[in-house]
Amino acid sequence: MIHFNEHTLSNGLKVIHHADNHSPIAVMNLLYNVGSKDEEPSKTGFAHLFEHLMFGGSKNIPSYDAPLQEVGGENNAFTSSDITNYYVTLPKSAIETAFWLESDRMNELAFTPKSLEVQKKVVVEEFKQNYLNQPYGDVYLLLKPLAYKNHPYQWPTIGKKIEHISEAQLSDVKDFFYKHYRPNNAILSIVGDFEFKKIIDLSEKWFGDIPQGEIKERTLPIEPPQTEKRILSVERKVPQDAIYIAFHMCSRTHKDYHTTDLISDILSTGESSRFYEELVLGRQMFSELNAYITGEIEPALFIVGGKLIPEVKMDDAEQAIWELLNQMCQVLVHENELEKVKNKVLTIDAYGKSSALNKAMGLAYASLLGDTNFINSEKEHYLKVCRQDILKVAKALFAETNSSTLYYNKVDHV
Amino acid sequence: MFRSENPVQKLVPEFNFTKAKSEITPTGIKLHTLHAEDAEISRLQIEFNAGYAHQKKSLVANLCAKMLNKGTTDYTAKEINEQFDRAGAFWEAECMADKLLLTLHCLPKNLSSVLPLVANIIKSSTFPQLEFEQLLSISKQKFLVNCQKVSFVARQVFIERLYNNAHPYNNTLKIEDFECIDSQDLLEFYKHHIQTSPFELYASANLGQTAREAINAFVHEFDFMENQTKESTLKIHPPDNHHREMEIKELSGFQQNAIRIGLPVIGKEHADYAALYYTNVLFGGFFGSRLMRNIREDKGFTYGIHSGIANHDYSSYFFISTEVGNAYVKETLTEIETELRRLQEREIDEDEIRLVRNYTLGSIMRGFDGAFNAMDRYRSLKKLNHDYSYYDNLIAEIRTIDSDKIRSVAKKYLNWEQMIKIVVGSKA
Repeated sequence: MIHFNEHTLSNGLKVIHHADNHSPIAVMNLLYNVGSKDEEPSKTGFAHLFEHLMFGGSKNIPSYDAPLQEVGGENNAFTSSDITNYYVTLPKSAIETAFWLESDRMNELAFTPKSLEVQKKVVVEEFKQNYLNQPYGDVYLLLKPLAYKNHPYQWPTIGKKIEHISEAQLSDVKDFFYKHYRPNNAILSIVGDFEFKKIIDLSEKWFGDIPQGEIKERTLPIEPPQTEKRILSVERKVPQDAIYIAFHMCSRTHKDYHTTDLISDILSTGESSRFYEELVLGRQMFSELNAYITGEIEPALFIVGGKLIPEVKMDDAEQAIWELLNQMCQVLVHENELEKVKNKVLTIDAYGKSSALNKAMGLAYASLLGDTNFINSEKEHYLKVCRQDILKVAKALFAETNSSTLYYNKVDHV
Repeated sequence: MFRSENPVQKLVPEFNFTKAKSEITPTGIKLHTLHAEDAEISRLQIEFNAGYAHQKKSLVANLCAKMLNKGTTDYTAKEINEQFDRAGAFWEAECMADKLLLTLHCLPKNLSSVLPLVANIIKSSTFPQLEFEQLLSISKQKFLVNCQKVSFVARQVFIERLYNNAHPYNNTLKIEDFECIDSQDLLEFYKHHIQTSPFELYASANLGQTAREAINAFVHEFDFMENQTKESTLKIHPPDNHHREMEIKELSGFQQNAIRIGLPVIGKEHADYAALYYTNVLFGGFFGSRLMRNIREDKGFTYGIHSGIANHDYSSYFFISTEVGNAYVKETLTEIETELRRLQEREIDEDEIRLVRNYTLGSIMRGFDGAFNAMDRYRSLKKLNHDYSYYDNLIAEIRTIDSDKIRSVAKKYLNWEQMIKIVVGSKA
């Protein structure tokens, strides 16, 4: 059980505090409610590029990293389709440095042309390293636009293509900042050996006078219901054929979310899972086969992806996957099987609360979803799922007309 | 309030972290414990002297580790998987250079149902043929996928040059290795290095009464009083150090080249190690290092570049690793060499020394955050008899290090001419 306190400043910044008296380390997590879904289709990858620019200095502090390292701290950040999340870990006696640094860059970024030029190059190299220079690295670049025709989840966080990153202008950077990086679009969580009052005082002192912004209500393009089976076939110089099937699933706060997550666990978490037992070990068709949810806030994807053992035909592999998916839609899962995946969820839940950083991130994210106490209560949602729920949700999920299939064929030369 | 001034003027490092305790059980097992009151989860780790340095043939130690839970005289692989999964337990077998580490994460209430199974696996694993063939085929496919990554290929070539052919720390693979191994090899290795060998136990996080009782019962399944002499007798020599030329391996169709540079260095037991540890952080060991500031933050040649020191029990090596756009290879290599020579030859600014000092002290603190991290640190001191004074010395050295000392260890241990230099990728 994580005990926490909450307070909202007059400029709209939400502050969450959790006292962790066991660690000499403190964590500050700052979540901005902006992700790649907020980008324009012609300027994708921008939220992530912007995350890099947040380290290029702010109005009063030329370097973000150095003063933090000076007091023994470390930081990093990540961007997803939904959020941009910054976090700092540092000795608890130095916590005010984190308030100083984060508030100054929320107040006003430096916007230097040099920072933009360099970080564009860095992100282009990141794009190559993780998406273009890896076997199977471009799968999501292919699969997402196949599944989404309208919704901005159709492009990955890194962007649709390298050109979008290299074409970014300084004016885009400024617009983006004032549009999204305002206190009333952010959630600050602090975990460490502190009194709540001290955290409120520090928050008021450093963030209190930052003006709030005009945050427009989000109106994302709606993805029309899919009505036909979609297929894409590509050839790549890789050692194994691979297949990926994406199904549209519900949103993060939908009542079926936890059932859907458990379906993916039944299929592929652990060596006693169905995929592993029947298709990896049993029929030896795949060297690996996974089912997982992308789990974003807006209606997300349930993905099945696997690499075929050489000699196995794509058609047979696909059919074998569908047999197991159809089984989920036709036969109630065994009570033991459901209990097993619930037990795994409980272990993961406990593990997730074993570090201050995870707790700080979890609190901020739960708050974004609408209820900070979700960090404590979410496991109940998993435990409530029954066999009939699994059957019902699987039926809606695993329809051919709800599927987008990517055949990733190996060739010796491209 | 001055927004341009850091409100914290002084670093106050706190090193009064919870220390692990060691005991020897009545049956002769070394048990190390670190209890965290607030933890909901327990972790038990079992460490054997069964890393790949102990194998006589490629792949054996690694596959043996992965096969342990694939069948025993009492249970099939399926039954074992089922029992672990039903208890919500996570099992991991990690084959490192010197050690095999088995890790179990589990809620305390489920330990009593899982640990007897773990004991059964250690005592009576059978390495069934069918499971072996499947694992071998899957491992081979994964190897082939890895061979399509320039970073993996560069690491392979680097290790081959560092530890020549038959060296126990050369764990690189060739496709032929997958053809000349059978389950009998694994069984032999298991019998010699695991089944009847003494292990050490590291228990951490929630060690309340429920967990302790389960662990005590587990400990009583083994009796090591009679075979304590079977401690590792492995003798490994550090690799020779030669002058090295740049080696370029061209592979077509890649957008980036992987660069890997390095050489053998002193280990944790050496008096200069703390200074070398610090010097590595300053040079390439963190986000604000010289390599990162120059090659990423100033030039934008790469998403990341870093250096590090890898420690095996009998040999350590320093390495620099990065992936850069094909057009930047030559300039990156020049910049790395320039940075190294600058480190050796030029006075280092007091501000930079202080910043790196404070960062490093903070990162050592972070290394003890939470029971899992703290236990990992303790486990890594095994070769030094779990003596925490390693950290006292490290911290004391970092607090007093100066420009002369940094330059002298950089000159002495990081000689550019002696470094192995590997580049793998496509021409621009």
